[in-house]
Amino acid sequence: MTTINTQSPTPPKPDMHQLIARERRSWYLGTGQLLVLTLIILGAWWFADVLNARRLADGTGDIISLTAEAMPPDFSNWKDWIRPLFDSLAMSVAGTAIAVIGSVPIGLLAARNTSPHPTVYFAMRGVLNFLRSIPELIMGIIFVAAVGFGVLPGVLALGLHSIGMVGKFFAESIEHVDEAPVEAVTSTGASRLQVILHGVIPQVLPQMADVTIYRWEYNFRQSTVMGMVGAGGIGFELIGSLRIMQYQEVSAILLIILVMVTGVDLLSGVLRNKFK
Amino acid sequence: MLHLQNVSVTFPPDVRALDNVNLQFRQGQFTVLLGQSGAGKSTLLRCLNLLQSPTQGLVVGDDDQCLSGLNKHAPRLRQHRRHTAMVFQMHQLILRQSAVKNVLVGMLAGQLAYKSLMPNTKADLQWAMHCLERVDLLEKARTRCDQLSGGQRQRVGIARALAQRPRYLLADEPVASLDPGTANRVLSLIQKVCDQDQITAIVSLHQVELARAYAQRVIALADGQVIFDGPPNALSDEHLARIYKTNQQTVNASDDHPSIPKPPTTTPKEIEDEIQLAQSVQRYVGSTVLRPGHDQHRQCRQQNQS
Repeated sequence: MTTINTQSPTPPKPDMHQLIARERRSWYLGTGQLLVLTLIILGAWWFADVLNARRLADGTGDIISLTAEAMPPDFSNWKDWIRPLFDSLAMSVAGTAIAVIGSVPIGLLAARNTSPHPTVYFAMRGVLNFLRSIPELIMGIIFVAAVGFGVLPGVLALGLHSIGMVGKFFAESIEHVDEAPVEAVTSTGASRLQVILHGVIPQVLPQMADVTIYRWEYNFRQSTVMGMVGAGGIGFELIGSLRIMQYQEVSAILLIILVMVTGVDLLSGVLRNKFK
Repeated sequence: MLHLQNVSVTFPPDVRALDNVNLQFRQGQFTVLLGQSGAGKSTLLRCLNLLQSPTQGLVVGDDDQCLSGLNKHAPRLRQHRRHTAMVFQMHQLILRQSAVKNVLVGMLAGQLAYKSLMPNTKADLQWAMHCLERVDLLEKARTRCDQLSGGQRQRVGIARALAQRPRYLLADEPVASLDPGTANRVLSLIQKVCDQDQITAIVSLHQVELARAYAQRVIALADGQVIFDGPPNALSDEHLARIYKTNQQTVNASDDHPSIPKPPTTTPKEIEDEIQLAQSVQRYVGSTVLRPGHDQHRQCRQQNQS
């Protein structure tokens, strides 16, 4: 309890005019911010040529004719696509697993409250930023050059790039952990590692599961394009059909990918709900 | 024996939470810490467990081992913590986990970390279940703690403390967020298990009646200094007035003050709380003998509301 006020508590009377003035000022402030944002967006559009009406009009016709050429979708080669589809699926699962295995220790070292030393903390943050800043397609090209064509370079590229993002999220959720139970575990005489295992990890497990499943979904979508750089999967078939201008096949593959992505999306939604 | 020698704790920039405290705690006594919020009760308890290391002075544990100034995770310190179990006001359980999992946390000390990755041994589980049985929560062992009531959570917290096989049980306002009935049950439970196991209980409270009902020794703190240390029946009105930094005149004055509207007229919550607190303090100060029973219960409730 707080100290007892022996004086009569006189709550200061708020000045109504001042309150109204503040309320009005905050409206103008908000509108001003919105205006600035609009100007920034318009500037970006102008810079990127989005506002060039003639170029857009010229392109529209080509898009329509391309779409017409791609109709109807041609599924006659479907048997050749089963294997690459499984490749893509396996690539996403294997890559995500690598990401999680790498992210747990890196995440613990890159979280301020569990990192043993600030130097380690900054070094790990650097590693995470580095991994995140290399696009997975570039990583794919590097790994194709290193280990040859196939699913393996795709798995490595997705896994490594994912560590950058998954590790950062792990670290962030570890930093936001409720300190009270952690302190309680410390008070029992547990060692540093035990405090992490029993005080920190149980609290962040739901977030970890959430990020992992989301990342798996993302990696599946990415795995469909990894084939374009020769890293296996359905993307390999897609780029092949595109090169020989079989647009009807392209549209068929895109439809299949759409169905698969929707399926993975539904499944990940169900799984994430389970880990609440 | 636990011993604090000239212990002071200063929080930056310049808050003196404990000021030159000298105390000894012997095995088997039920001790209550009294004091206002901010008087240093929590800091004192946390010093005894070394969750808070003193800025100055020494904390001496069993076997005359000096514990202050050690590394945060030093083995000797962990050994000490194992024997001085803590019970917290907000229970500080991991709510997503079952009661028995939370109790098992109390047995981590002295185990190797790799054991955490193995399945729990039968003996460990038996001990954890036994501890839950002692707080009468065996049927809730596999229930997630976020589905337990406040009193049940606090009992899980006590079971976790018991799982440590402690010599000392430090309870930091264990009943502050509970209703009077539950508060009484939780305190009797602490008293019972400590009596059975010869555990020294050091409990901080802010209800004087509860302190009188349970304590064998009362230590009162104000502004980080010990202002009373003795049996509860030696606790006089003057002491209480000093603890709660008030006296009868000023309480009466504020009670009759015309500018404070009296409940139940609609007043801002803060003012109402202040009035209730003032009234309940007046009751402690005004009556020399506090009768146990329903009268105590009623006051207790009033105190809890404020």
